[in-house]
Formats: sequence, C-alpha cells, structure tokens
Amino acid sequence: MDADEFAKKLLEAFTIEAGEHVETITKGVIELEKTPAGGRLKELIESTFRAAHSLKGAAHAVNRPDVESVCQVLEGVFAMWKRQPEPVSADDCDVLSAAIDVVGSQLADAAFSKSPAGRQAAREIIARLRAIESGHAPHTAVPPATPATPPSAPAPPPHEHAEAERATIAETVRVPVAKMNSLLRKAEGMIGVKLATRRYAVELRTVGMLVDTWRAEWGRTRDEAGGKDGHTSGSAELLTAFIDWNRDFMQGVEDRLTALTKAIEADERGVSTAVDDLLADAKELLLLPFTILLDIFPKQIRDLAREQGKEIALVIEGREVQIDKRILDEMKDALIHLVRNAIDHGIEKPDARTARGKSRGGTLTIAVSRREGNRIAIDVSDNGAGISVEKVKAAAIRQGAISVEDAAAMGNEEALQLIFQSGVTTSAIITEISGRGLGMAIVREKVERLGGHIAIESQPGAGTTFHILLPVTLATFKGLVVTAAAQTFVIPTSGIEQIARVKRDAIRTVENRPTLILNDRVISLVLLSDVLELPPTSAQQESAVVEIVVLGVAEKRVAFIVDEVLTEQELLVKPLTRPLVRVRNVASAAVLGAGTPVLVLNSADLLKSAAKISGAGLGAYATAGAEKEKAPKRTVLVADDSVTSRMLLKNILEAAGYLVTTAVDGVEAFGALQRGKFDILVTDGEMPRMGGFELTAKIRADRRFGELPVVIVTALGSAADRDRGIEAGANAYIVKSTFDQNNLIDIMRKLIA
Amino acid sequence: MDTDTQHMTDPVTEREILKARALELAREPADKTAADTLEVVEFELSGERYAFELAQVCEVCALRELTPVPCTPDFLTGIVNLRGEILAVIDLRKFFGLPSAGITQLNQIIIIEDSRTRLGILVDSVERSLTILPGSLQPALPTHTDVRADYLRGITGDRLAVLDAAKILSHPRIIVEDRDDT
Repeated sequence: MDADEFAKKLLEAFTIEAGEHVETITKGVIELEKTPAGGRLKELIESTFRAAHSLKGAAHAVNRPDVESVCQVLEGVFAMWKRQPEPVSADDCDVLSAAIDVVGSQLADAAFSKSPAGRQAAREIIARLRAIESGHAPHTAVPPATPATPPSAPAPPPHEHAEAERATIAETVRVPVAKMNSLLRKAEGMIGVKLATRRYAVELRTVGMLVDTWRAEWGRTRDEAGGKDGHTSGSAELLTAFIDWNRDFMQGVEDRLTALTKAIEADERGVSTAVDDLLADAKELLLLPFTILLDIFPKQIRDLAREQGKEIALVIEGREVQIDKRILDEMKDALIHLVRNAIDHGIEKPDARTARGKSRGGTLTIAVSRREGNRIAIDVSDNGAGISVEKVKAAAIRQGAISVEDAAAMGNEEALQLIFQSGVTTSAIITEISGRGLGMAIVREKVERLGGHIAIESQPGAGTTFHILLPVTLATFKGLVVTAAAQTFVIPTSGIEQIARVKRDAIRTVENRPTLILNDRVISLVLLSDVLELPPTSAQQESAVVEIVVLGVAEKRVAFIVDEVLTEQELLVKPLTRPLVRVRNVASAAVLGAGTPVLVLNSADLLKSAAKISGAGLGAYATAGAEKEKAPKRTVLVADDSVTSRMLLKNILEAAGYLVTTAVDGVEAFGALQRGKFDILVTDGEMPRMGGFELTAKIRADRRFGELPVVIVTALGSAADRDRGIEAGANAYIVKSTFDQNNLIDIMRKLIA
Repeated sequence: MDTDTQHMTDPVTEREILKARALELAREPADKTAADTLEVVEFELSGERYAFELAQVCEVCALRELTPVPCTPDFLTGIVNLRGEILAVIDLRKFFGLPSAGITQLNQIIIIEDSRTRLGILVDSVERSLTILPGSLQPALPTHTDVRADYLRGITGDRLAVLDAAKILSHPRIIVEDRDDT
C-alpha cells in the first residue's frame, strides 16, 4: 500500500468514525435539554464528553485542525459540566447545536474550513462555546444579533448544510458475520451449478456425436444397399442388419437423452431455489433500520422549533422497521421536506394554539410500519392548523394551475392534491426553508419514482397527515403488465385505481372528449397508445370490449385503453441512465422473465399527458357506441336557452345513459311535456318567455305532472334564489358556478331511482 | 545534502525511484509509437465505413432484444438489457440526419462511454480493428455540410470516416431530459 492509498483509507475510516461521534453528540445534546439534574444527567454528560474527546483525537490523527479546534472547546464545555453537573439550558443547547452544525459542515467538505465563511463560522462558534465554559454567561457573551438563530447566522450556506446532513447516513453497511457466512455458502453453491452446466454441455455434445455416427452408418447402408442398379442381392440383409442396429442404437441415444432431461429437470428446481435464495440474501444486506434516517430529526426539529418560537414534541414510531438502503437515501430529502413543512405551516405558535383551545405544544409524529405485500407505510402527521382548501385553490388559481371555474367545481379531496403540483404553495410569506411551492411536487416525484404512493389528509384546525407507501426493497415493486401499440409496458400498481373491461358502446363523447361511466362516475378516456405518441393497433378499433386501466384519484381519474392487460407481477426496477435523464411518461425500466427490458410508465405523467391530448383518436369508439341503443332508457327533458349549456347537459346525460330531449325555454318545455312522457326535467333558471321557476310552478300546479322530479340548474346562486326554487317546487337546485357533472348524475339517480 | 543522505539511508524509497525510472525507460518506445498511430475499430453502417478510436470503445456486443422508448427523439432506437444494466441505443444515421438507406442489418452494438454517459451505437457489422496514422486524417470536406462533420475526427485516405465518440457523448442533443414545466 503506498502512502497515498494509505492516507485515503485513513480518511475513509475517519469519515465513518466522525459520523458516529457526531451522531452521539447530537443525541446527547437533544437529551440533555430535556434531562433534569440527577444520575441520568451525569451519564449523558459523560458520554457526550467522551464522543467530543474522541472526535478531537481522530481529527488530530488525520490532520484536521479545523475540526479539532472546535471539538476541543466543545470538550471543554462538557468537561466543565462534568465537574459541576446541572441541567443544561435551552440557550446553551442552541450553541451546542450550532457547534454540531459547524463540525458537520467541516466534515462534509474540507474546503469549507478554508473559505472565509467557514473560518468565520468556526471563530464565532468557538467564542460562543468559550462563553459558556468561562462563566455560564451565554446571554451576555453571545453576539446580541443572533441569540436564537444558530443555524442561519454562522452556519454554511444551505447547500453545504444539506451536504453535511447527507454525510450522516454512512455509505457503508455493517453486516453481521453470520449473514456474510450464509451468503458465501450460497455463493459457493453456485459452483455446483457451473460444474453441472459443463457436464450437461459435454453430455449434449456426446449425443450430437452419436447422431453423427448414426447418419454416417445410414449413409453407408443406403449407398451399399441401394447400389448402382438398385437390386443388389445383399441389399435386404444389409437393410435388416441396419434396422436391428438402428433399434439398439437409437434406444441408447434415447436413454441418454432421458437421463439428461431428468438430471436437468432435477437441477432446474434446485437451481431456481438457490438463485432466489441468494438474491434474497443479497437484497437483505441492503436492508437497514429506519432509525438511521429518523435519528437526524430530533435535532432538526428542535432547532427549527426554537427558531420559530414553537413548542414541538416529536414522536417516532417504528424505528426498527427495515428498508432498502437505497430507498432510505432517496427518501431522506422528501421526509425532511415534509417535516419542515409541518413545522413551518402546520404547527401553530403556542399562543395561537391556546387561543384555539389546543395544548400549547404541537406534536409531530413520524410513524413507520410494515404493511403486507412487502410494503412500508410512513405517516408524517402534525396536530397543527391543517390545510385550508380555499387557500390552496387560491394559490393554484394564482399560479394558473387551474381556472376559477375549475376551482369552484373542485371537491375538497381533489383540491388538496393541488399541493403536489409545482408552484402551488399556501404559505403567505416565502421563508428560507419552505414556501417556494416546489417541494411537494418533488416529494411526490421521488416517492413515485421509487414505486411508491403519497396521499394527503387534512382537517382544518386539527392537523395534516401525509401517508406514504413504499416498497421494502428497490428491486421489487408490483406492476401491471399491459400491451399498447403492440408493445409491452408496465404500469406501477400503486397508481392504479381500477382495471376493467367495458363494452365499447358504453363510451360517449362529452365536451368533445370520450367518456365512460364507471361506478356511477363520469371519467374521461384515452388510448394509452395516443398518450405515448404511438400509432394505435387495429385490434383496438375492432373489438366490442375494451380493457381499461384507471389511474389517478377522485375527479382527476382517467381511463386508459390498453390492447390487453396481461398480468400483475413483481418486477426488478432498473433505472434509466444518462442520456435518458428524464423521459416523458416513463419512470424507469424493468426486466421481464428472460431479460427482456420493458418500460415502467410514470402514472403522474400519463395523467398530465392525457389532459393535453384531445382524445380525437377515440372518435370511432364513441360513434360506434352511439349507434347501438338498446335497453329502455330513462327520459330527460332539458330546458336551457344557452346552446352551449344545452349541449353540455345533453352530452353528460346521454353519456350517463339517459335519453335526452331539449327545449329552448319554458314554453317549449311545457309543450314537450304535454306531448311526450319524461322521467325528469332539468331546467335553467332564467330563460326568455318562461323561466325555470315559473315552469316548475306550472308543472306542480298541473295534476298530470304533479310528481315529475325537477332539477333547476342556474347561474343564480343566492340563498333567496334557492328558496325561490324550492318554493316553486323544485326537487334539486344546482348552482352553475359549482356545477359538477358527477353531482348532477348522482342527484338524478336519487330522484328517479 | 539532506536529501542525499535520506536516499542513502532509505533503501525502500531508493528502490521505488529506481523502479519508476526503469518503467519509464521501458515505456518510452511504446509511447513514441502510440503518439504516431491510432488504433481504431472499423464498422459498417448503411454501406458506409466508419470507425471509433479503440480507446473510446468499451465493448462490442450482439444486439438481442431491443425495446423502443416512446416520447423520445427518433434517433433513440431503444433500450437493451446488457447484463442487468439498461443501456440506451441510438441509430447514428438518424442522429446524423442522414436519409435512411434501404434495409440494414443493425445487429451489433458498439458501446462508448465517458464519465457521465454510456451509450450503445447500432451498427450493421463490426469489421476489424486497425492502426492508422493520425497524420493521414483529412478534415471533413467542405462539401460535408451535414451533421456528421461535427462529430468527425477526420477521413483517411481510403475514405474511412473516423468519428469522435467524446463529441457524440457530450453533445447536448443526445440527452433526453423532458422537464415538465407547465
């Protein structure tokens, strides 16, 4: 080993060791703040002191005077407390916490210490630590401008700060020797496979040679028996002799082949278990307990809470749950973001909480649990202010993500999902750590790229919970294997709401978009091949039944028509690499059975792309469906003076399976009612000649239609108008600005069940 | 003086230095030839002869199963599974913007990489590796106004177009990065 290599190894070892010491110190400081005088306090001071001391020594050994000098003062502070143990104040803990941040930055990047900012940070923190040591007078000794904001004042820029955090998850994995031994044994088992393969190859070559022998023998016999004139006297004997030989010979070949087949079949079972076993063991090497990730939170939450003057208790459940290291690494930033959001926007200040009749301190819970199907659930919840749907909508409108009309028509559940869109933030002021509105979009992308799923639940005034569902190992996720445009694709099961086979004649065009009624809800429909910009296959155009995969949640659901749903299976994720940095609609690749690569689609992208295409390719479906009317249908009379409204209502109702007749005003509608038989009337409020209210009153007064259900759909939204409608005898009153087609259909179903 | 005594008293260091010197001496003639010649891998694509510098080629393998990737530029033919790793494969003719020239085999992949990007190049056949004199390379003809000229190291006397793999790998056009900004 040359000197350079040795130095490198030494540094690597130092990095790991330093990480462990920093962790011990961090945990110690968090605990210290909460610990009253007593034996426990002494113990804590002692263990933290020792970690600071060891880190100082290690830093000296690898020639890092920067780290060493901070640790030396840190050690001094703990040494003082060792001599006279007394509870540590929150202010002192601020300083200690800031010191840990500085050491963290120094460790993450040696260049930091050489930069002016780094030198300044070290000088300041040493001064503040000395102040504690020299007289227990941190209030006077601390620079007055920055008493309670340790991370922002002397600390490194945010980027480097993040680097320091990343370094706390060690890049090495500790594996119990027993596990390694078992793995080695299993790997050795593979030697048997290698030898067996060689044996089979030899055996097969032998059989091949036997076949050659047979061919040569047959050729000779044919030549001799056939002769020149074809009737040599000995030909019959020759042939008989060949046939006898042939029988025995082929019997021999057959026996060999049978034996070989048996051996291979027996092996096949053994080998497939052995390989699966080996793979499972190897994957297990990468499983780490969550605690490695969760341990960074107590300090972070403490610091943020202090900074914002909030009181926050952290509850962590399920530290011991194991998950793939690669997923842990990927999820780190996302979880940090969720936690910061909860503190920033979720949990209120103590006074605000008391005013609302809540406890002064908020609680932030991170609960990790194992779920069936090799999945892990992470719930991040706070009992803070919750998310105001109205604010989210307003922010989305401001960002241009939705229109005012969209917002009005949007249900609460759907509106909450908007926070996952980039640019939507509800925080009134943009703070340093959150409020830029990009975070949640990135969190969702991260989760989904890992084959997971994220959902939000929020009660105004009571708190917010994010539910994250992740696969245990990166390698396995469940996916639905489908074909579209004659190519195979995988759609992650986590994003799928439903799979169904629907009759083609159930497809209708609404607002120029093909739609479908599924579970009493209207959802729009696209060809997966269209979304993927591939030519559709003719099979799709012809079959009477189509297979659909429904993605998305609530009102954002879209049904994708596929050629065929093949199967659902566990798949190995293979990331796409540069030059394929990010491909529209594609999340990653996976490998099917015999090593064929297949693309894993990105559900979120598919929904976005589906919204952009017109669905024109589906024209054939809708018209084919419209021609086939059969079962007796409920009849609806629609009265509206606006052509657009009339058409819209007609389409929605036809898509829902009603037979629709239209009228342009109350007078025409009343005429139609007298001529035909209708099950229900849907009318506009304001129309020329006779409006909806008048029409309703007239119907109620007429015995012939006394029972006819009437739905008024109107632009008039005031309570007085509503009362007027009810007074006139309407059964339902829908305001156009909040119009939701599903709502209309629900109401109609109730009225004419 | 000080350093001299150190050399005398430290046989390990001394031996290291001698060894390094010996190696350097031994290598000198080899260095000379390497500077004067260029080893290249010649391949055929639509009846035209191209080559990559051998040092820029990681591996050559047969094309087995190729999966097209939707929503990518047309030169990106698809992805292949190379011993468990997913590799993007491109069609140089389309990347160069050359008209498609009839039926081709495209049954071998030349894999090139730099520190960031790894890429498979589809070719009809890999002919051989050969040594050429870099001095004999002519710049692209002025008539060569097509995209190819950007990626060309030069053309040999017998019309073998030597491509620069590094230029292909580092060209922004090769990167598929579809950020959704809307």
